Amino acid sequence: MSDPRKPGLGADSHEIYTRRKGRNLAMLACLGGVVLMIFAVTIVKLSAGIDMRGFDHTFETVPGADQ
Amino acid sequence: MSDASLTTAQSGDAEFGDYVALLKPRVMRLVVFTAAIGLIAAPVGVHPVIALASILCIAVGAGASGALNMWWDADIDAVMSRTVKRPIPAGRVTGDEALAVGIVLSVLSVMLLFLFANPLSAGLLAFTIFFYAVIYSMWLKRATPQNIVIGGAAGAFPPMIGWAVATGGITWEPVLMFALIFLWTPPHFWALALFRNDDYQNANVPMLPVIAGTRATRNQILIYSLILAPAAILPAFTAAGGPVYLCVALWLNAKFLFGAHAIWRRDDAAAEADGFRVEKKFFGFSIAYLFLHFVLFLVEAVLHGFGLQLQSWPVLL
Repeated sequence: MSDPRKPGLGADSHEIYTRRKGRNLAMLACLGGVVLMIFAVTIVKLSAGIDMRGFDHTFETVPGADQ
Repeated sequence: MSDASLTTAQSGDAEFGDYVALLKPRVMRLVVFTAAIGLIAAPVGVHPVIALASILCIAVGAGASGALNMWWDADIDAVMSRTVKRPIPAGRVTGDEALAVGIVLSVLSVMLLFLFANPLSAGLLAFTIFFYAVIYSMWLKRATPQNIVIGGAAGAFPPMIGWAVATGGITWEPVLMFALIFLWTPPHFWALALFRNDDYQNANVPMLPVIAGTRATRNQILIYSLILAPAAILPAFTAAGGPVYLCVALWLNAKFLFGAHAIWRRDDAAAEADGFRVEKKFFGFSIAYLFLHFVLFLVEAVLHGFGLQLQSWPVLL
């Protein structure tokens, strides 16, 4: 709220809050974009049949590979 | 905004655009362009989503190194007319904020590129960030007049990273793309330094004209242009080049050498008399020169994509 005894303080805080709100919304959009990008790449990789698992220190045998 | 906030940045006061400015958007545009060409010119197809995500990671990584550069160079940015309006010297962003943005985005971009593409491209991106922020900004820039020569390597890596995203390896083509930007950087920046000498002098940055004088700088511009020309034409004889590349590259390099020779032939008196017209013209053309070389890679990639290539074209590398 603007304080009439301190000229300019209300306008300043209003500007700061507006700026911070704009910055937060832009940050939200960026983070949303990153999430969407990771999701899209995951879908593409899974659709292409790429193994997404990391090495878990166990070797798996491929069924039928020893025949 | 209060007067105090104009001169002293308060954490949390900056606009989003100020953080974007930390990433040097103009440099990012060049990085996106050259990385995309490296990726497109590679002989391996990449899914558009992965290509887009990878190029974004490369761009953000380059931007992060720009933020680290601005954090480190805030003192000299404040005394150079070209950089005085950057977010830190202008008091809109604190140095600590710039450092945090640089580190977070560096780690994030390398990690995501590792996941999206492959370890080689992520490793190259990490090395590029390290090279620009540490080797160039923190060490060479204030230590040697050859700062631009070695520092130029940082700007030369993006097409190589783009190529590595597609192929998972490095061959002659990305090495020559690297060489093209690497050898182009010194004559490009030294031409700028010839008519922006005062800026670097005020900031005590040991640019070649400040340390060795303008005569030596003019000599070096010609020498580097002579080395650049064959390196720029050679890609014509790789799988990424072809006759279109050769024809236009010959013309571009002849014009570049002509400009470098014109700079070499002049002295300071002649340059000051016409307001550095030749140097400014050369600097402007050098931007188009690099842009057009990468457009040529793109043209050849499109032609190859449609099967429009000469079967008898000699591929030497």
